[in-house]
Amino acid sequence: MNRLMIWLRSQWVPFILLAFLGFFLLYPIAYVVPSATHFQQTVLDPGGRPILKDGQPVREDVWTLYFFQLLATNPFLWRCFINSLFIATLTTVLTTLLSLPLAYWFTRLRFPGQTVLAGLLLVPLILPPFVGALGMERLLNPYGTINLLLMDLGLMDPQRPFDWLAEAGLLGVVVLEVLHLYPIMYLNVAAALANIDPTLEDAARNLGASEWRIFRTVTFPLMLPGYFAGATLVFVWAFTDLGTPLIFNFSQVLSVQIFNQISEAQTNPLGYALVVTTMLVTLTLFYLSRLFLGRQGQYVMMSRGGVGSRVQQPRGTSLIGIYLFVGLLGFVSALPHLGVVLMSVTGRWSFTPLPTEFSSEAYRLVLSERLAYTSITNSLYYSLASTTLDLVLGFAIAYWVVRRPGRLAAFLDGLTMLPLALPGLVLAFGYLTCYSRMTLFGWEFGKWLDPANNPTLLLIVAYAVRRLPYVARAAMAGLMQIPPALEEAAENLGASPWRTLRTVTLPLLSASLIAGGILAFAFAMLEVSDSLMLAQQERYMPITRAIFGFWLRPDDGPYIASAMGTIGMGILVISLVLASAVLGRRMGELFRA
Amino acid sequence: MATIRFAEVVKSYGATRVVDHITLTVADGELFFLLGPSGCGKTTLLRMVAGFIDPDEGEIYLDDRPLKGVPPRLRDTALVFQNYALWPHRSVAGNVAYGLEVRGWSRRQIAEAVDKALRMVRLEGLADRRPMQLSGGQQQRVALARALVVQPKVLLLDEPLSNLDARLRVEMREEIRRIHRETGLTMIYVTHDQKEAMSLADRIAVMNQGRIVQVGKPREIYARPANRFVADFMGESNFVPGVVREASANGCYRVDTPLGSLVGTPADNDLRLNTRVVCCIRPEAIISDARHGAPNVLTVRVDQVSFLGETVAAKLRAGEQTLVAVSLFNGLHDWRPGSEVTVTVPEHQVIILPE
Repeated sequence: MNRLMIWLRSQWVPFILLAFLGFFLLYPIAYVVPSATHFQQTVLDPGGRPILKDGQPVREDVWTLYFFQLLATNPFLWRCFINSLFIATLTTVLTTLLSLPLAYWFTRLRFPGQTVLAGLLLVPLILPPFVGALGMERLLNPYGTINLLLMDLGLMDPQRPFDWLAEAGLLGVVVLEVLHLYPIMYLNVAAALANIDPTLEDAARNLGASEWRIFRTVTFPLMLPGYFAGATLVFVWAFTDLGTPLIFNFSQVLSVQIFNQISEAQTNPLGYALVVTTMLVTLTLFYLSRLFLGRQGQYVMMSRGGVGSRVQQPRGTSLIGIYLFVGLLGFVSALPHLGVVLMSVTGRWSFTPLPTEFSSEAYRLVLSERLAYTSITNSLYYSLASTTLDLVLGFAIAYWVVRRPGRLAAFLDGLTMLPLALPGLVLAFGYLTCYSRMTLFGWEFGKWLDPANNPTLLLIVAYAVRRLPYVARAAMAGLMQIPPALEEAAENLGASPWRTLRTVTLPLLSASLIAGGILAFAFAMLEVSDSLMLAQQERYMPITRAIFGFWLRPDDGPYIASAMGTIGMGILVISLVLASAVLGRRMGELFRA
Repeated sequence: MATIRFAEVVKSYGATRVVDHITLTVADGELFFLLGPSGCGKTTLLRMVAGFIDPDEGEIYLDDRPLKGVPPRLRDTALVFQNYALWPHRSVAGNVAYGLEVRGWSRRQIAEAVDKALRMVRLEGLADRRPMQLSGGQQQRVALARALVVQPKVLLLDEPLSNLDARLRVEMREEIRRIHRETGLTMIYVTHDQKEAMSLADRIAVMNQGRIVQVGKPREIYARPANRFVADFMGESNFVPGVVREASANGCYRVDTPLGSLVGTPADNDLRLNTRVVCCIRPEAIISDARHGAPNVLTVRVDQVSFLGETVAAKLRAGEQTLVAVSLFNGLHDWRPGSEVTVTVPEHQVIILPE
């Protein structure tokens, strides 16, 4: 007992952190898994009538793997599963094809305007596909901009328009995912390439290898770990994205099926089974990529003075080619969001490629609609609260992991990074029901954590837990740049631990913390899965849930949704411009697995 | 007034014992050196005084006050870090002022003390710079000022000059000597550079594998190394194996070696006859003129002569044994590779070490 107390006293910080993550991260997962194999049913007598006891039907527990079998035997569910896998795989392949040349150009070449273009490449990351989907729909529907343009050019019969979304809704989702996610892949591949000591390639060149052979035998194997890290993130993101297929009304994917199970979450294990399946796929993938990383992590790359030996300056047509490629990519990725902005200022837009009249009506409606107004203030409140929570937790975790390495710290680190591998859907689904009936010594604190009652606390925690890896990583990266001697010097001169933290550690870490915080804030503002699943009453809805609500409303709904999407993007752009101004080029470090 | 006493101090990391039963007293006002190769435990010992590492066993006393359990901030042992550990977000003055702010001094007192400290290390006029705008030598001076300004009982220096280039290092040595003279502080100075230690130290403790091998004044240690490790570490040496045959005059002994019979002085007094020993001969002890009748006259062949500037080094061969001899530029200049010469080593410069 005494030893336990001493341990607790010296380790109370990680203990609290572990308790928090255990309760809000591990417990929901632990709750979801058995729920997928278990339900209660009323016991019937041989005549098929419920057996009554004290006037109540008798219920019994049933344990079964039936709902997992259902996934394979039910053709519809199986189709959803395959669709999700297909979307994720195709998205990963396409982002790879886009990112490889980009990463090569931006790490190995020097050309004018490079910094600005590199920044432009990251823009799609901040344009949420959920909002982009609103605009995309407008561009691609049977009488949308694309078809009308084709009709004007005489390439399509106005009587028989091609319905892009109906006949290729799946591809629409893939296109939007690719346009959204290629920056993540690019950042990872570019970082891996930049880490490769150019003299390793020079050595191969010196021994007579051709450029292609060098890429195949030296460059590519060395950048594999970074590539796998990026590919895993992209795959998981595309595999579990809920917002995009929902807006496209493309329901034949796992994420939408899980979403549709919410109302039955208390009684039907099917939703849990789908969640567990999703989790298994993503965790397996992460485990495999870790295997790769672990094996290759032993390389010590980047010898001293190895920089700059292979910097080329492209000229003429190749330079124009690079500009065209990047410009076109930027334009195409912003197109859906331009559509949203356009729609939000539309007065009249029917059967023409572009609006014919403009008006600020939608924004006036946003101000007058109670839901629009409350959802924006709700989102600001939730995001600020979750960002604050993230900063406190992220700093504490980073401090422990970097300054007190050991088994406890390693475990804490692993736990903190778990949400990277864990789809938002899984946590949200767990949160739906796992706390609602909890009591502590007769105090029903569970009702504060029941989203049907009031989702505020859960939404804040959900946002915070999901974005914790990014904040913690930003703090860790910053902390590793601060030599412990700087803190020891303060202590040596008589400063208390608290004073050292306040006068040395935190000021030096502020840039990283601010950047991580802004990023967490930006993501929380336009978070989709938790928001859609946990917020059920209008007065608690965050902005994304409100957008979805408006989107489903006929007449002016889509316009209000677009206006709110534009406002959301505005907030996001402002915060990310701030973040990149603070963090500069190191922003990429936050998006690696 | 500050003495530091280590009593049977032990520290292990896993199975490796990095500090192994160290007992040692550093006197008041002494400039004391801990000297040894990397990994010998000297920095660990220093950080134990500062309180960043706790000993597994034993105790460290500051003026007879045991330090166990005293947190670093209450120890009054200012440390100059190897990489200076200057805070990049504070100006030079802000760095120096820090310890005084912690001690709750008034703004005016701090300004005066910082001013004085910066004058002491000759950095007046740079108070408002950021540490990153300074050169390595200037950063070193800021680190010194920051440690000195709090008027510590002991000043701890952890390889303070290892990041400076050779010329600056010599310059900063003089600075540290001057500061020591002016302040009269007890200082413990960790280094692996034996020249630094010999030129500055009042006393040196030579460390190896967590133990203290020899403690003494620089000249004693150089001239009378306790064993082969110290002899090797404190400068270049020729080692000639042999067997002790008989005692000769003035406490000297005769040793049979491949070079023939050598007369030398034992490093410690209980030397037993017919045991195997090593004779240590410093390169500068090999003198080129041959005095007939004196002991230790050797006829050797000159293999190679290297001109090093103020000195000239020669590689000599006698049978299977090679010897390195060094003299000032004027001494060996007539030696030619391939020629045969006669050299002498004075008896007191052949040091007989246990094998």
